[in-house]
Formats: sequence, structure tokens, C-alpha cells
Amino acid sequence: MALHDDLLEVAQQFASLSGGHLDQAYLRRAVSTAYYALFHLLTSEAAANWSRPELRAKLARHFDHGPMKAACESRISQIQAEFKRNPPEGEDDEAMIQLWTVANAFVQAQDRRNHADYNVAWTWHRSEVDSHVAEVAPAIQAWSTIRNHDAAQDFLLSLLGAKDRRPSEPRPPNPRPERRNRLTGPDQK
Amino acid sequence: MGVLRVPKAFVQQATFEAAVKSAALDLRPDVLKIIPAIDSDWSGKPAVYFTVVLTDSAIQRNQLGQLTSRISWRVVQAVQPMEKWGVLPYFNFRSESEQATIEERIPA
Repeated sequence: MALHDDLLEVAQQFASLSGGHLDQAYLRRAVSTAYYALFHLLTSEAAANWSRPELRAKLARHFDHGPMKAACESRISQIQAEFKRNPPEGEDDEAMIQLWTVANAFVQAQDRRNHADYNVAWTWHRSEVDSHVAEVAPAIQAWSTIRNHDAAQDFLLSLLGAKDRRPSEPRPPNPRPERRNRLTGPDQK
Repeated sequence: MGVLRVPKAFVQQATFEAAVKSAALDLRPDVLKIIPAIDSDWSGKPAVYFTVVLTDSAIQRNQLGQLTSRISWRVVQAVQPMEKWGVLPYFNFRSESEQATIEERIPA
């Protein structure tokens, strides 16, 4: 089984162990581990596009939580705006809902994970945690149905945090400053 | 001088809560109520934390994840927390019996 499947199973086991004097510790680990199931699913899927298998794990380490969440929020807004303006039809409609499910699950799971790991004032309840963990499984399932869709692949790329430049957006003029002679340039003292 | 932008959900809480209540009514019988709490999320962005109280039978369902995803999607479509109210939505799902226990502990 893939790492994300194993992590989800571990999250379910942690939740089921709650109830005794270790209740809060188990529930917190369940929430946190469920998030990492999604995190590793998406980073491994993105890295799998790299043609050299031996470098994929290294590439996966370039993904960072903050930019990934920002990319998910951006994709959620984009999908919602699209549905409001001009709802897609047929297969595209379904693919967009599945992509929304994945992006939304990631945003939700990351915020919960931060609270689970760092917010000691927050008390966790079993039914809440069960539903948090349960939400990751359909996100993984949703991903498997759309992973080869163009929008899904574009989404993976956006998780790296690069600025999304649309084709119509003008490029900045002369992005690279003129090279100066290192010894005689005006900055030299 | 910069202009301070306060999300609409913060200044029109009663209207916001009414919109949430209306969305909850459309999600019966699984959803008993939705309690919104306006706050900041972990990254400091204006947010709303929805506590969605589900019937005990709904939360014991095998397909709980599908149910909660569908509820989240429908609440977001109906209320449009980000687009109309300027707050990022977060969801917590709780069983009615657990919610009742929590409410009992809160002093009147």
C-alpha cells in the first residue's frame, strides 16, 4: 500500500484508541496523521511526474505547507466562481467537484492539524475526529478519479507555490537586470 | 493612509447567521443545526468555523466522509462565505449526543 493509505489507516487506529487517559493525545495524533495522508498523496503524485525516479523523493521535499494551502484556497475560489458564472457540464462538472473535494479537504485538514499539534486549549471530541479522518478517504478517492485530468495536473504544479501567470497576463519587461562588470559597476566601492 | 477592510461577516453577524440557518434547513434530516463562530484561522485570515451537528445515525454511517464533503459543498454554495462574507469556511462535524454533552457542561 502507498504511504498515504497507510497513514490514513494509522489515523483511524489512533481515533479508535481514544477514550482512556490518553484520549486527547490519540485524537490529536489522528487529526495530524490524517492531514499527512493527504499531504503525502499530493506531493508524491506531483513528484511522480518527474521522469527520474531516484529524484522524486527529493522533489517531494520542495513542497511546503503554506504555499500548498494557498494554492488550494485559490483553486477552491476559482472553481466556486466558475460554478457561479458558468457551471461546467458533464465530465468537466464532475471533475471540478472532485478537485474541489481534494482542495477543500486539504485546507480543512491543515487547519485542524495545526490546532491538533499546537493548540492545547482546543479539546477534541471523538465524533469530530472521526468525521475529520473520514473526510480524507473520499478526497483520496476523488483524486484517483481525476489524477490525469488537465486541471488536476495543473493543480499539482500550483502546489509548489509558483505564481500562476495566465497567457494573457503581460510579462514584466526585461526581467533580468543588465549584467554589470563586477569590478567596475557603480555598486563597487 | 491604508483602509481597514473588515469582512462583512464580522459587521453583519445577524444576517450572516440567518443565511447559515437557512442553509442548515435545506440539509435536513441529517443536519440538525449549524453553529457559526467567526474567528481567525491558524494563518490569521478571517474565518468562520462551522460546527455542524449531525444526527447520531448520520455520523455512524459508513460513508461519513462522503456525507460531510457533500454538506460542506452545499453550505459553501448556499452561503458563499468567502465571496459574499469575506471569511474562509472551516467545518467541524459533531454528533447530536456529543453536542448535548458539551452543552450540558457549559454553565447557564
